[in-house]
Amino acid sequence: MLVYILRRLASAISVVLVTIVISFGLFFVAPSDPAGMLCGVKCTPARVAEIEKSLGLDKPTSEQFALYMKGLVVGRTYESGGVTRECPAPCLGFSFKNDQPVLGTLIARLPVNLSLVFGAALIFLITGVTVGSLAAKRPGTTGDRALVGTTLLMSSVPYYIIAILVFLYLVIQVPILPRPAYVSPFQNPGAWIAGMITPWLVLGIYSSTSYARYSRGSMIESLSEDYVRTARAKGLSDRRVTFVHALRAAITPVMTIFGLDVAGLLVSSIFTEKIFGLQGLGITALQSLTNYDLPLIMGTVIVGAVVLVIMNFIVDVLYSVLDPRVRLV
Amino acid sequence: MSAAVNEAAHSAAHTPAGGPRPSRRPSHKGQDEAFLVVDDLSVQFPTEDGLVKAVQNVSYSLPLGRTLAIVGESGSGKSVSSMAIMGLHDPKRTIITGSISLGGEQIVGRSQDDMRKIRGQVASIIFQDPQSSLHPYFTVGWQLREAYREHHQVSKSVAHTRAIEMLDRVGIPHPKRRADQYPFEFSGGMRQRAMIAMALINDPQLIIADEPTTALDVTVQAQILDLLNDLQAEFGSAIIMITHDLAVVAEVADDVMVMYGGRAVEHGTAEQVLVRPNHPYTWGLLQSIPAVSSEQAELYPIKGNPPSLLSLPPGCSFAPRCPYVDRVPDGKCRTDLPELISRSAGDHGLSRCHLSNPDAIFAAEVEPRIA
Amino acid sequence: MESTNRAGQTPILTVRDLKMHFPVKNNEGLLGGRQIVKAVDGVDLDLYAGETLGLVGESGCGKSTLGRSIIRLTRPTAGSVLFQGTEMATIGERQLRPFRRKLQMIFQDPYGSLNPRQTVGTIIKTPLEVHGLAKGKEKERVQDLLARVGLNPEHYNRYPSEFSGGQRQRIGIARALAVEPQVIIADEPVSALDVSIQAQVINLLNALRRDLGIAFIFIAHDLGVVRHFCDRVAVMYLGKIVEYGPKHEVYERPRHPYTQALLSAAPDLNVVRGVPPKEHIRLVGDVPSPIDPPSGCRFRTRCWKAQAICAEQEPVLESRDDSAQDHRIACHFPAQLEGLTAAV
Repeated sequence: MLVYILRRLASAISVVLVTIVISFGLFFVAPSDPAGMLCGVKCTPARVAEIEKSLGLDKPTSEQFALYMKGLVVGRTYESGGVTRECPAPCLGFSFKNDQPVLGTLIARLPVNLSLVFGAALIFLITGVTVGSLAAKRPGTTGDRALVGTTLLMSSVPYYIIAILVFLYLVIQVPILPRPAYVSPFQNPGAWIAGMITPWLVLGIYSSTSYARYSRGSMIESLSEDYVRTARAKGLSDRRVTFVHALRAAITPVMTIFGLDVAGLLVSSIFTEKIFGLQGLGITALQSLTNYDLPLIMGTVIVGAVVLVIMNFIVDVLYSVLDPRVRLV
Repeated sequence: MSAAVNEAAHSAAHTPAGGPRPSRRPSHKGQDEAFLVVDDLSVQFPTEDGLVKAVQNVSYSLPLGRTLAIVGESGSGKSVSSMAIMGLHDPKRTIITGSISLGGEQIVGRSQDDMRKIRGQVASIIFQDPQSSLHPYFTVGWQLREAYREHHQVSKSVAHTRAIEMLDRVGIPHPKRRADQYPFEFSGGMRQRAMIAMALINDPQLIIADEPTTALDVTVQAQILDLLNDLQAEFGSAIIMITHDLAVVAEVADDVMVMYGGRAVEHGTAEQVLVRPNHPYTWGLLQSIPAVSSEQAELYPIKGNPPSLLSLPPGCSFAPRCPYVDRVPDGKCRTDLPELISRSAGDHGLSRCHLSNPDAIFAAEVEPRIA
Repeated sequence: MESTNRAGQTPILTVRDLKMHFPVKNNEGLLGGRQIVKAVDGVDLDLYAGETLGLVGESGCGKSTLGRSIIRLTRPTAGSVLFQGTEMATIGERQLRPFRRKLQMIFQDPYGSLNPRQTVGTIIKTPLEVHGLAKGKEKERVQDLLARVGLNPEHYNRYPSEFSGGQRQRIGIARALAVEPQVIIADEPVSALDVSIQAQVINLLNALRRDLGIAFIFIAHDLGVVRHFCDRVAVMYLGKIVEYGPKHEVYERPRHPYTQALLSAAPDLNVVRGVPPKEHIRLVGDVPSPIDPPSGCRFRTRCWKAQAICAEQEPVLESRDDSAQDHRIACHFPAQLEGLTAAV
């Protein structure tokens, strides 16, 4: 087990490293001009040079990269305009745009995504799997066809259309759902739920249709397995056969997709954030890109890679719990 | 039809006790009293292509402590009738008529809840492929415990002790450790032993073994057949052995029913059916199988292919493949379905064939080819 | 071991010290290690023109792998396969072409080995085109072949799904016959078929061998079928041949404990006909892993005769003083023939 974890850790670190190198490289290959952006319209070349110097952009790319990596691992000291600032490891630097520490910004934004994923995932996993399993028991019946039809309809309408429609009609025009806003659950749990319930429902129900489809397919397969017939031959109740024996096998492939979906939502759910006005990581990443804000871009990329790697690891561990044949030796 | 039914239902009862190898059949109490009586059973599946007549008018009876082998090729209906005993057909997609009486209780038409009490407790089934028939994600001990607790109000630890006891009984070494392992950690033979342990954990009176050794290697097959035989001697259960392998039948069965196209075509003791068979299909099978212990110069296969259960021929189902149709006058084989009755004097079973002198034909034309 | 017996005939196919090892990944060590599965581990065989050689053994003994590496479906790890004196184990794909015509294979699964989207005619015609045979007369040749294997020649435009299991196996046989092979390797060709159909296919193969003089390597787990169809039999255990000889020798005077156990385990139809049941030898335990086979004799872990020497020294497959000349046994303590020799 220890060897397995070490091996996973090694591969995780290399994935993150490669991601850093590639995004760093892409930024400099692209025709970006952060200093010019910051300088504004009435800008002299001398001023640009000055800004570049203060941001460290005058140094060779390789040196900048080395400094960045040093900051990540051991921390770094910034000097500009006679002011020295300590940036302890893991240092993601300061935003070009607003000079705030990147790490702090990202940490402040993370709870929004965490909250969003927590509630939506709960909804789409539970509804999706239950509906899918029930449909799988009688494939071809009216209920099953309705489900398949709905999922097809849902997947042919883009998510942002549905989200905008819900926001316009059910929040603004006929205020059935509360207006979304993020409040920390530790400050005011009631307000947290009230603020998040709309995005939870929209994201949760929209995604649950595809989960219903995955689990329906997976259940139809496992219900026809010989071991399900064995379970029935033992005299077990229909419910136990379906929800213990068949579902146990059917849930495993669904969990893989679930892990990746959660990872994706954690890092970015741009449409949800933008439409419902939540300041999450997705919005931050989008802003950093439009601003050529290198430290913030790098920060979101690294956080994204780390979250993805961690979620992958969790899925693997979960897999080995769900399927004993996958052993983490 | 009713004559055939009565004959068939009684056939097992008046066969000489003991079967071909009396030494292996210690007599049990109630030996002559049938535990399972299947009478005029038909199982049909409505499909988009039409009605699949999987089993038609099958009757047999089986006392405790005795083994009935149901022999047939794929599509003969040999498994379908046993699945009906277990009530494992989807009632919405199956039409079952006739009667099945298990220990005096009528099964056909019972609710799923009633059937659940019978399944796994009164009657158990062992399937062909132990690899796919055990749940891959639960430990073997868990699966055995579940089977026991479904029918007994006991604690988990009592059930666990019982599971280990059963694993030990079927010859699994280190049963305590093995109970905590998953099926994939077992070899094929060990998995089938675990499957048998699970089927026997509630002391069922009827065990249905559906091709229990077909997926196994020959040395493992021998172990499993020995085990079933020992367990039967110990617990006195009735066994239905469903198989396509006449050699396995010869080794384990007391009674044999040969099925073709959903109907029983020959039924009697193992000796009657395998040594003095009266039906051309059984003859064909015997001439098709090369034995291990003797050399056969030539195999005489049955020509053609088995019939479709969607469109069975009007007369005898075997007529299109039967080399003896011309010996029956008036083309009767193609128009009239023969009844399953005793056909000739002497120690023969029942057969479903119009031939008037089957034993003479067998002695003159078939036996020389297989001896 | 020189291959000269059988009345001075030279074999059409000579296999010497053939090995087929597969690497498998395991999860040990920081980078994950590799282990070697020795599926076939040093096999010698001779096949003479027109004869049938049976390969028997339980699953995992390497009999199918052996067949596949002889015909070069997989390139053997080591050893030599001579077809009429020419080495074909090590040559490249291009040089292998002419041999592909001479050696053909029939598979177990008549469902999986035919392309469902091709008509039977196309399936059988393809090898003709590949080898440039029957040019301009392909259709006639296909119809001849269909008739030869007992199918209706008019059915060349049908698809495999329109045929039954036994008929599909006949299509597979016709495809193999198309290129006029001298050797056919048949891997469990009848085990997926029903009993009545099985006999039809065996009789067809028998006719091919009689009429066309094709030699067969017949891989099967059914000991009765092998006894009926084969001239000689090789019994395999864990990648090695443990007993090898004419079928009447192997079936009636088995000398290797494993062969004896195998034969005694096979259910026998004759028991109800009053043939005394044979002595039951029941092997205990399972076949060991081919990754780390036992030292010395591989069967020793399950053998009731095993002694110290069995663990130390690997027995050689050879004929014994008292055995028929071409009956070879790899055992330190082969069964004695008890009076059988005296009677001869």
